[in-house]
Amino acid sequence: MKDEDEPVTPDESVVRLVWGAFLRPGEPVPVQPVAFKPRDDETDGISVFRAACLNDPKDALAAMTPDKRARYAIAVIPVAELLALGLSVKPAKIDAVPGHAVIPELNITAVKSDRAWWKVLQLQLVELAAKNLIPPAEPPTDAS
Amino acid sequence: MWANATPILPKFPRLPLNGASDGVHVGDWSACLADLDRYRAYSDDWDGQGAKGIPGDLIDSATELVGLLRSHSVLPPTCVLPGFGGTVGFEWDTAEGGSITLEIIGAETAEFELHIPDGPYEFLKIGEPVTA
Repeated sequence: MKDEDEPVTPDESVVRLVWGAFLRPGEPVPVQPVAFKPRDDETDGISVFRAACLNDPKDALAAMTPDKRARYAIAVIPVAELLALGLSVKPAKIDAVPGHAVIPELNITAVKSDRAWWKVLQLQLVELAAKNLIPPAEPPTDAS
Repeated sequence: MWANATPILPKFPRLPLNGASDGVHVGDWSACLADLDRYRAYSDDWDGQGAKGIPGDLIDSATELVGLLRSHSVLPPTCVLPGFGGTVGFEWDTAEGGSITLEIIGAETAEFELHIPDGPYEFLKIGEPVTA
């Protein structure tokens, strides 16, 4: 396991947690683009977790409140693929789970300022996510 | 209701006269309304990461919009999704492999987006007041 203070290297993968309702089972691309959309407060970029800093990709679920963890799918994406899209991964430590990082280019300001660019990138990201997707422990139902 | 949305209605996919969907993944209006109704229960932190709850008046407004779209023979959206900011979004897959998204961000307020790969991109805001 890597120490989270070590720099991110291209041979790593990152984990993106995908809310179950954003999945499209049976479709050629089974993840909705909105799964990578920054939240309004994500000015530094969207959250991911470095798989190299976790014992198992599912350990990233510890960042969620317990009653929601089973609702999340787990997309494992090679850092090299993100780099090929012109994106980067920057460590951003949190207390709950080791290996938290952000993709700084995918921040809410950038997305709103160039929506056409963002739309193209979203489609590329969901294709990457679909290549290695661990389904949620519980199928999508009501949120609460 | 949704008077500002009328000009964009021609941009949405419609069922051809022969009833075929031309290979587009078409949703179902009943399922769309059921999804909207289900999102009424989406209170604050519905996703465990601080997502905002979806207000009831926004759902009501989205439901009214469904009525308007149906009355203009618009195809049902491929899916209806909740938004982290307390919104709901309708999405249509298009025959050209692109997408149309209509995100309801408030009562009678929405953001429309059309994207066709290697083709046109369009973004419009509907219903927001113009400030001086």
